[in-house]
Amino acid sequence: MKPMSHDFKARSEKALEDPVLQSALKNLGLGFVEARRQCANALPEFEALRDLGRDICDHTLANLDFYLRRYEEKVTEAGGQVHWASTPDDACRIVTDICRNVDAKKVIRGKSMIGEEVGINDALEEAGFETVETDLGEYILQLAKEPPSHIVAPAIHKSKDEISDLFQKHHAVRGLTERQTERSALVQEARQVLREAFVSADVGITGANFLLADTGSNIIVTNEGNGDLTCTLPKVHIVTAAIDKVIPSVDDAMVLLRLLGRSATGQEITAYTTFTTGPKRAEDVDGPEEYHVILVDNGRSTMLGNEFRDMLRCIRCGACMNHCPVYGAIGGHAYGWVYPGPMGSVLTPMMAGLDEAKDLPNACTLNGRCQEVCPVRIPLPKLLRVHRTWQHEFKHNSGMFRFGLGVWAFFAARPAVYQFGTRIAMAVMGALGRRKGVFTRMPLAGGWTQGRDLPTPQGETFQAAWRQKRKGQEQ
Amino acid sequence: MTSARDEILARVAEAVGREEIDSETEARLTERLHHPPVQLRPQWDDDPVERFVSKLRAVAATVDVVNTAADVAKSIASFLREKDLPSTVTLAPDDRLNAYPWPDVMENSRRNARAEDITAITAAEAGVIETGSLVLRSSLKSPTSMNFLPENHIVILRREQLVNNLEDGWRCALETANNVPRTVNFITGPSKTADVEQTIEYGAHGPRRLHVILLIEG
Repeated sequence: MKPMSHDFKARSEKALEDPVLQSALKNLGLGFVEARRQCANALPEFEALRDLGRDICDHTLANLDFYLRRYEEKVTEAGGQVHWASTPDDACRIVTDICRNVDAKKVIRGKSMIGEEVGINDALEEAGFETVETDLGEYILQLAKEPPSHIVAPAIHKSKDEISDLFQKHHAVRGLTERQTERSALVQEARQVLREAFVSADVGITGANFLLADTGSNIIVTNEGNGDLTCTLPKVHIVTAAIDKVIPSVDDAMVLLRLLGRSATGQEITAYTTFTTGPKRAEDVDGPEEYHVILVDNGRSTMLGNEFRDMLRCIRCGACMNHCPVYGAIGGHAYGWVYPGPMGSVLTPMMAGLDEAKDLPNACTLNGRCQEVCPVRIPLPKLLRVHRTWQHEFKHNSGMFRFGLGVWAFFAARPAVYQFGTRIAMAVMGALGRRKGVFTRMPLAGGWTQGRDLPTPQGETFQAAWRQKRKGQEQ
Repeated sequence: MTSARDEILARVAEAVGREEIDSETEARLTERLHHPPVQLRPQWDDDPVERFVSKLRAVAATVDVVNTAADVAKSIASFLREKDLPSTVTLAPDDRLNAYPWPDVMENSRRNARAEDITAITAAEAGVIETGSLVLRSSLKSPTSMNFLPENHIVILRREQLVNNLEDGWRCALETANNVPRTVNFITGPSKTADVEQTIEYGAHGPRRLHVILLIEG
């Protein structure tokens, strides 16, 4: 998917005026946030598990060279094949080559963010394969030709009416001409249509929530069961996964699984947690004949070696965006690429380009809620500040901004001048605004006062008031 | 020409600050894989059976706790009757299911499930008390399609198969297999989706209903 992050400001404005999106975002706060809170409170070990989750990921990342090699060995032992892709293009080429080699016509996909990241669907369709998304949310978006707006609930921005219209329009060719308006009827219709895809597909592509180095297993978690049908019925199972999905053993996986469901949707565990290892065994009556894993780097090895290593702990639960006031106001599409919210604002500049996504790290109030709920304790606000620092160093921010910051820095580094200046400014503003109580317009801050009024300062600076108070206490 | 594999591994090695892994580190990490540290696991005081049953019911599964093998068939019959389902069922080709007397009124086929099947009956490897999860593994006896294709999934489990934590469930799945099986499923409730306006609907792609029969004695 072509990044549109450079258009962040215009897209945000549009999102703020979209009533369907605004109502969906309101429900998100009530739904996921509350469910997570209750589920986390119900488990006394939750905070200790978060520490453990962080430590497991840190240990793995510090030894990723070892675990990647061991994982590859184990997959090969189980009869599978591991492919390596440095770039999204490499990943797409490997997947389309595998599909071509087995003469595939129809390819089905289970929801995976890495698939979105490398643009698998477009590549497959360009290569002439019929491609069907099987996660209901992703399927709705495939019909609507839209990208996901949330990493766990991709179609969260779609209303029931919009889904009814989409189904009526696209399912008519199958003889399903009636417009369904009940949620259950819509789910039932999708089940019927997608069942056909499951039984006729040649290749099934899934992502991976985790990869196990000790067994070569791939773990996926779903509630629908679409991932399971995707990796069980077609004769070829392809796993697309980023290199940071590898963890040592099943014991480590269980710690992270306990965190994942609770943080994502407030579930102790999802309906289906599935471990697949290699192709079907000789005695199995179902399962794929071929098993391929594509390990994708796409900038992660660079992040492993710089300030952004902590970001590679991410288990893609979406808690950071669920709790983010900025995401909560504008939704996922405004961010312009695959990953929205706080984790997206850290990742997108690294993957889609620092300049392309320069607005994202700045669309953050540094309120810290994302870090408070992150199951593996990623210091997201700190990483967003690293981006801001980089932008300044690489001169990706505007000349006006740099000039303003320079002026402020000059004074901030000279406390005596700074205090003198602010004392005069506060006194003047206090006197000027005394009658109205607020400033509705300010020179150089038109953007700020456009949406709100600035209360009139009381006339003295905080530091002066503080000194006065301290003096009073001493006497 | 270097391969993508070598390039990625070289970049990873550089990022973690070593060209090659020394033998001491290799031994330490291999040891951790063979004997993983026992991690913190959730604990509880509830009665194991009560907890397992209530966890499953909380995720919209139906559960019958029965005392004899004959009760198993009764539970199935009343489940089919209550849900107004046909008495034609697909039984997993699993000899463990021979322990239960199947009434003549129930038409059963011993085979893997097909897309048009209404009800499948399988045995589980374990039940996890921590979460109410059922552990099933792929084999000749227990094809994975049975767990996902039919609209109704009935799983039979014995009291002695209940284990405490998810980790124990995984070990049970491996115990009876010579090697790691192709598929191990942890199933916790029927298939569901909240992709239409964040409201839960059951039977997204997998079973609409999950019925669990827990045999306590006999």
